[in-house]
Amino acid sequence: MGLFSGLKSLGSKVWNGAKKVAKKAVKVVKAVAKKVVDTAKDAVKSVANQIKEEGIVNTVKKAGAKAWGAVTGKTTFEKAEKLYAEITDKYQKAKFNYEKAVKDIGNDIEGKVSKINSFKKDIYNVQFKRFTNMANRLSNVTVKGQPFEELFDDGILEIKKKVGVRNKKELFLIDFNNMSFAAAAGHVLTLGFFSRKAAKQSLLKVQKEEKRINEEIVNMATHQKQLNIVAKSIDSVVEYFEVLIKNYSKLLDRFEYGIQSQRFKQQSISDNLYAHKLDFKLIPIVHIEEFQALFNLSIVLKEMAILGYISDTGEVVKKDKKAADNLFIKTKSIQTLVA
Amino acid sequence: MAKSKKANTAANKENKYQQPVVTTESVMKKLQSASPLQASKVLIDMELYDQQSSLEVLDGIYKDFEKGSSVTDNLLNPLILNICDGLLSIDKLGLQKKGITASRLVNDINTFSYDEVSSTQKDQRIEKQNLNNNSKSHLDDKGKYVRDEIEDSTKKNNYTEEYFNGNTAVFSELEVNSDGEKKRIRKKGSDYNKNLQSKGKQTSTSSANNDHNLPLKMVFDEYGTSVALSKENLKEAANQKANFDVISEKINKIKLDESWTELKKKRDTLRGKDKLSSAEKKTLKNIENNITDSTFDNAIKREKEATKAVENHLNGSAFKNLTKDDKLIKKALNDTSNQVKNELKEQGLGELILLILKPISFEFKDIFQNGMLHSTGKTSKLSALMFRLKRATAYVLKNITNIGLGAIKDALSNFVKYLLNAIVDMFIGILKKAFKIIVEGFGAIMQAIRIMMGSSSPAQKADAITKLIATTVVTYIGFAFEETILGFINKLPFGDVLSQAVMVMFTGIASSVVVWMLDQADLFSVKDEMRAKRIGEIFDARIQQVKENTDAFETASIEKLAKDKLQFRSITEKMNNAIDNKQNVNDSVYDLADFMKIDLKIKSTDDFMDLLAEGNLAI
Repeated sequence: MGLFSGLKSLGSKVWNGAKKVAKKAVKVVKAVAKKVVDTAKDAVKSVANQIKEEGIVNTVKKAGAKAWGAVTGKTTFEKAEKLYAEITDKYQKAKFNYEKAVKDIGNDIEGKVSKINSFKKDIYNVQFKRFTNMANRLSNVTVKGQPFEELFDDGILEIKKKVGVRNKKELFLIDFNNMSFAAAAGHVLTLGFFSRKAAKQSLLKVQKEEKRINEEIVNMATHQKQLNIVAKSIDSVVEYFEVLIKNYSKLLDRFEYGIQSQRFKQQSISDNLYAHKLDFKLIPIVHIEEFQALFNLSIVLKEMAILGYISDTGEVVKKDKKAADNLFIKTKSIQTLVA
Repeated sequence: MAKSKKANTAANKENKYQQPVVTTESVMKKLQSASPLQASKVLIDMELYDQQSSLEVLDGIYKDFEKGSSVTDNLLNPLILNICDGLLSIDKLGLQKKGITASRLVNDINTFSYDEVSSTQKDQRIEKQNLNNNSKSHLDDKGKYVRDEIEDSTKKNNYTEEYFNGNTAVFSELEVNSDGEKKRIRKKGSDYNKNLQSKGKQTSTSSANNDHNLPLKMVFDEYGTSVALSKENLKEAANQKANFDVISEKINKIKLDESWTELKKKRDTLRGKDKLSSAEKKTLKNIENNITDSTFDNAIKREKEATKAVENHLNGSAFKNLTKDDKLIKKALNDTSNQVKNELKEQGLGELILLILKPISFEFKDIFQNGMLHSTGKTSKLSALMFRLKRATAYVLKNITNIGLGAIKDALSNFVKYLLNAIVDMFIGILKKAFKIIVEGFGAIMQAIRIMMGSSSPAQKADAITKLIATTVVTYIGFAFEETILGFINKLPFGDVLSQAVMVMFTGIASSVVVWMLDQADLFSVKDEMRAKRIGEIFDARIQQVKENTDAFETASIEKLAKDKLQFRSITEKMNNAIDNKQNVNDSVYDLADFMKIDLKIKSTDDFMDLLAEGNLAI
């Protein structure tokens, strides 16, 4: 009851206030009404002036075309057509630039992959051969396996799920440019109800298409940036190979010199002038350390030589067909790699 | 329950279209966990945008939209709620007066969110009911009908004299016999009639009477309800020449206080009946024998003229009274303010009940569905409960002003409407009907203006206004057929109990069906517009995410690649120096292996010596 009576008194207070507000409101309404009338007068005047300036025939023609466009939805249709042309153009440009960029980056990466492949071969065919030849004077050293020759397929660098701007037929529910007389008459008779709706739906469809196309364009730009970074990372790998092969070779030179001098030393104190192997226990520790460094560095280089850098697509370089069992070809789905 | 489910599905839908989120941290983590040799592969494999084609996303959104517009949600549920509305209106709970209906209760509670501002709502049917009640309150009580107060014998007699114009016999103004001849009548006291009386014959068919075409009682009952009309006004209007017909006493006595239209309807009803009582048989015979179809035609034509004249006269008097006497306006203002005041109290209370009910039921639902602690950020149940109570209270306090203002706005709009209605009710006949249409549509017009001023798109406005007009029309059609519908319902068992509910259900269901049909037709492509908007939002969000992913990817990967390069150069420089200066190279080799994440089995020179001792070194 308390709440109810409270509300009652609140209601009457509110009511008294509302009466005052209502009085003020009447004044405001009057002022607004005056303004509306004035504005309407101005509008009529300006229309009259326009008619004078442009001539009645032109004005009527213009107004007629405008009314026809508005009633049938032709104006909306034209807007849709314009937007369609814009997004098609925008997409084509973006696609052209993207494809060109991808091709350039692809060529760049391909060149680097082939450089890496030749480094890999050099490691096995030149560096490891030199090392094993020298090392075998101290101990039996074998290199297992073969380098992995990576095959570069530029397909892995492309976005596969590109759709592009769909055909106009899929987006437009009405075509004012190719409309039969009967259809046009039908639209006039139905007060443009159906044609207006069809034109509006077409415009909305093109607007939706624009959003979708924007996403495809952004995806292309992102992919391009991603590939640029990948190309940079491959640069580093090329540098790793270059520098390490150089250091390995220099260390081999140092080791070779050491081994040669030890050979002379051991031969001079040995009875057996043709002893095949050197006794590692008699060799100074500094040469053993060089041997150890070369051994470990060989493991690093081998790891580098058997890896695929862009994908696992490629093959193990084999010397004879018997090694076919060891054939290592792994083709990974392009789509997942691009992912 | 339903709301939370809806919220979950909405969240799922959002996730379905969300792009993967890539941060600088996540890119760095992936690169750091792999060997720098594998950086390119890691970078290629990184997913900066999802693998759904944009067309698949578009199709998905279309499908979700179709699912959302199920018949159950949009038609069946409102229909069930309409039935509940009807049932609730039976009990004299006073809920209706307070503007609370089952539909609104369920709808408000289901769509409640703390982010939304509470506002008042209007119900078409309640609006119409209030307006009808308002009209009823304007009915003027002029006491019991006393013929002498309304009849002007002088005018009547003058008219008769004028019509006879000194002749002994005249033709009846309306009567035509079956041969198509006009009936001759004489004054009651004429020699002819006296002669007949002396022979014991009846004179009622030959005696003239002056009849009020629109019966005085009817004028009093029907038009006397206007507060702007006095008995004197009624008397003036009813005793005009246009309302006098000189006819035979016979048919005047048959007609009595009925109008010609009513009498004809009575004849037709009796004719259509299978079994007639003896009294009914007598009445029918009496009418058929004395009033021919041609007589009825003449009489009804004359009745139309009389109605026009009487109504014009009365509307003129009402206008005169209204402009002359400011008491009438004052009374109307006073009555209107009283009604609006009462409604404001009732509806304000109703809105207040809803305002409190909404957050409380939301909290209960949330507690049952997600547990006490959910989304409160509290660890103990007691503190979570306190948090929930505080949240609900804060919402009520924050929105109470809105509700108050909303109720006042509604009250102001009602004030204008009721005042117009009070004035319209002072008039009568067709003029009143024409005015009524405008007044009754006033609420709809106000709402339409509000829609026009809103921020939604032109199509949405057109759609909202179409629906508003459609529901308004449906509601009024429902009321127009109220008598027919209720007449039928009352014949059913429990009809009297049901009749209250039926009108509510009928108008509610009809409105729901009409709105649903309009929704299906989507005349202004509003659904398409909303879908396009949704698609725009989803794609914008996806694009934004891809851009953010790209930035994070670029920043992190460039930084990591640069760091790797520096580290590699520092290791290999050290290695190079050691080679050149005949120093131990092993440290650099181990650093390099660590850098490249390659596990070397030989960790020291001693290990290597052991290996040499074994004599077989395999790389």
